[in-house]
Amino acid sequence: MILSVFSTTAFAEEVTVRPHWSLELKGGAFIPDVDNWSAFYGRRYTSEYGGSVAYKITRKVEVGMEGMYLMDKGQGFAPIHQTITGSVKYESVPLNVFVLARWLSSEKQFLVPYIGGGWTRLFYREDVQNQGVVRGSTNGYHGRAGLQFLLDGIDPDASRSMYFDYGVFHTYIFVEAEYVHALANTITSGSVNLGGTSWLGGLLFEF
Amino acid sequence: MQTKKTALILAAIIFLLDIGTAGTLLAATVTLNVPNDFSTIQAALDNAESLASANTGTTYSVLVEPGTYPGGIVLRSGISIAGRETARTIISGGGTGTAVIANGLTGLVTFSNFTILTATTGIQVTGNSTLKIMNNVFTVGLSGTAVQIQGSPNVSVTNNTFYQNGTAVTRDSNSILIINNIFSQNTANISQSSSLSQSGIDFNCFNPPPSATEPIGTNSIPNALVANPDPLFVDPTSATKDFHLQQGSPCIDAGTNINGPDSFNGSISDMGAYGGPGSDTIPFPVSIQSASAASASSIALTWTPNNSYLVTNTVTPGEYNIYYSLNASGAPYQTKSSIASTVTSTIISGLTSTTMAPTAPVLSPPSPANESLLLSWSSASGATGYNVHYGIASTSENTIDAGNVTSFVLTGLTNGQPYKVAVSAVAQSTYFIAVTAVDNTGQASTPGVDHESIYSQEASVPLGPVLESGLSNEVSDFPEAIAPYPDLPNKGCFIATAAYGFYSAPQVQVLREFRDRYLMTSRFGRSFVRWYYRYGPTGAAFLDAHPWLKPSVRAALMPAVLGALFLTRTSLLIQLTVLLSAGLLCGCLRYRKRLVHSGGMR
Repeated sequence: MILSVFSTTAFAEEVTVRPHWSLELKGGAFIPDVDNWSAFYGRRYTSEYGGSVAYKITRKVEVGMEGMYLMDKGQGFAPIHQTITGSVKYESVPLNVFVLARWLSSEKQFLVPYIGGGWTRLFYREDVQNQGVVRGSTNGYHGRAGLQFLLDGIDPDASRSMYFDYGVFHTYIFVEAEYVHALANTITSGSVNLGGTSWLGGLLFEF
Repeated sequence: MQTKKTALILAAIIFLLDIGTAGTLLAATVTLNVPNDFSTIQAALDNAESLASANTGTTYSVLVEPGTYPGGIVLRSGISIAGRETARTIISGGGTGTAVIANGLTGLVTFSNFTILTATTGIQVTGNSTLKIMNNVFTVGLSGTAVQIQGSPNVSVTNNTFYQNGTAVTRDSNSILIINNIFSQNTANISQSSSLSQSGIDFNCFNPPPSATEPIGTNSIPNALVANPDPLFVDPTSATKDFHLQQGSPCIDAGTNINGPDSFNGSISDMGAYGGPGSDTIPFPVSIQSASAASASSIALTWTPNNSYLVTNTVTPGEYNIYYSLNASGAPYQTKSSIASTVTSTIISGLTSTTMAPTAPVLSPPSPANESLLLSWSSASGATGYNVHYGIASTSENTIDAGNVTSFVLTGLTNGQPYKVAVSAVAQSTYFIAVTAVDNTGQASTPGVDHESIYSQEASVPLGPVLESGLSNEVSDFPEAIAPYPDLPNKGCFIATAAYGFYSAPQVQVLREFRDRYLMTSRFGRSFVRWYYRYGPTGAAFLDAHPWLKPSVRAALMPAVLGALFLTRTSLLIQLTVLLSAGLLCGCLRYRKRLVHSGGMR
């Protein structure tokens, strides 16, 4: 039995020479698709941050989940007065299930472009001061593309330490653009896309 | 930040050394301040030690500003440390552990002017350390030891106050000096091996008198001339713990000038933490008890006394300084007056107050909000406050003191109801007052620095008439519910929202309130809400796609809206009355029907 355990372990080590999981931590700017955002929230964009976990089906294809969070504070609208007034806090959490393809031909490839996309469930929350909270969710889709820069070669010692201490095979720094489309009905008229374009950067750990 | 400051200090030292071009090293003294230079005492000590080893010829010390600092401090060789004010510079052991550790100290190290509270051991001295412990207050608790000295014969414990400790001092050598201290209400005062003598112990005050077996020294109190050893502390039991001596204390001028005379008046050293050359010279602060207008031009002021013999002294009194400013808070104050410390109250007279009403402000158009209006107005010259006047028919219906602000949220209004609003400015003089205690040494004093306490807490006193301007321009507006942007639907009341058109429709709000107050408080109600949340959006989408159905749905919802309105907007009494009336009506109708069926009524 002991021999069989050793052999299983040895086999596991043999097949896990490549990373199977990736973890992204990222943040950046989100530009909402909603018209007139800056009139209510003071600027055209807001900050956004989050992360993702993905399983690598192959070295080039992975599936995973991404969660982001964005928040902005601004004003609301007085429908009868037709004026911008009051105090509103807007929060949004898009949860994305994605498939991602990476142009990777070597483990030491310095620059790795990637593209992906998938289904989005977007949760929103609007807190009107001294009035109440509106919350809900809607479905949509998203797409993203970016470039990953391998950091291992910059400091090989640190890279080795990351592997031996934390099991991290590779560390990348990346930049990406992401577009989310998630329509929601508005109360007064039609629908609105609660998504938008994100410009993000962060770190990717493969383990 | 610490690195930057360290670099600056190093640069300064190098500059000083460079001045000595003839090869003469300039002796310098550098004091590191906590928390101005370093946020913690330990960081200051460690950096001072590093600097000292790198710059021979320069003496480094640490000065700690008033505050409460955590224990576990390790003293460093050659680095003296002192508190700015003994009473207010506190090292707390938090009830356990050792507050200050001195192990293997070399060079001249002085630990002075601290109050050590709540620790298992106040100061633990080991490893042949050389240390002077002076002008400190120890109250570590009745299960703790204030000063524990082991294997360190070159230690002196002078001019300290030990109050309510388990053991005040333990020593293991006759060469350890214990002089000019006050031991009050400790379980044991000085603990030492029976093989040691009383050598090195003298000029201390023991209250209550020690047992015959305890070492005391020939010049200590009590003695043949002084039977009562009560040191007459000012206020040892309160949270502030003032261990200054009151007039008549037997410990005044009763010590010996082992380190030198008293710092404040040059007389023979007092016993205790506030005697000798290292005693801090800043009196304990006083606090204002009451301050109020006595007339249109005077203010009555009382404060707690500073009962130190250096301040409240019937023979040579110190002073209280009264500082005050008109319409300006905080130091520096505009006016200062002094009063002998034999009194603790005074009338500040000859004060002036505002005689001109301020100009009326200009009110901007309000911004509507849910059940409120956001107001803003221009600042009026000379105003010290503003009143908001508002009402439905007239602005004179209600008045609110808005304070000295130029914007205000008028709340408690009804959405859709127009209100008339105006603002007026008010002016009243306000005096801001603080008091300090000054000792009787006659030396130049500065609040919080030398011979004068820090300022007391500040009191503010309105004085003179309240003058009000005329009303500003009148504006009229109504509050309304605010739609967030984008105006997204809530996850509840889908069909009603679709039917009535917008989320903040009053009918939708009533249904939402009914949901929260009645449905969500019962198991059945919560099940219904879950079912509705599941299928409601489908119905709402269908309604949005077929808008011609909305009037019918609104009509169908009317009974539900009325029912919700009845249950949420009426009192229990009305609800019971209506239900009882309905029950009676049903009973009557049923009885009438039965009579009709039986032929008893046509």
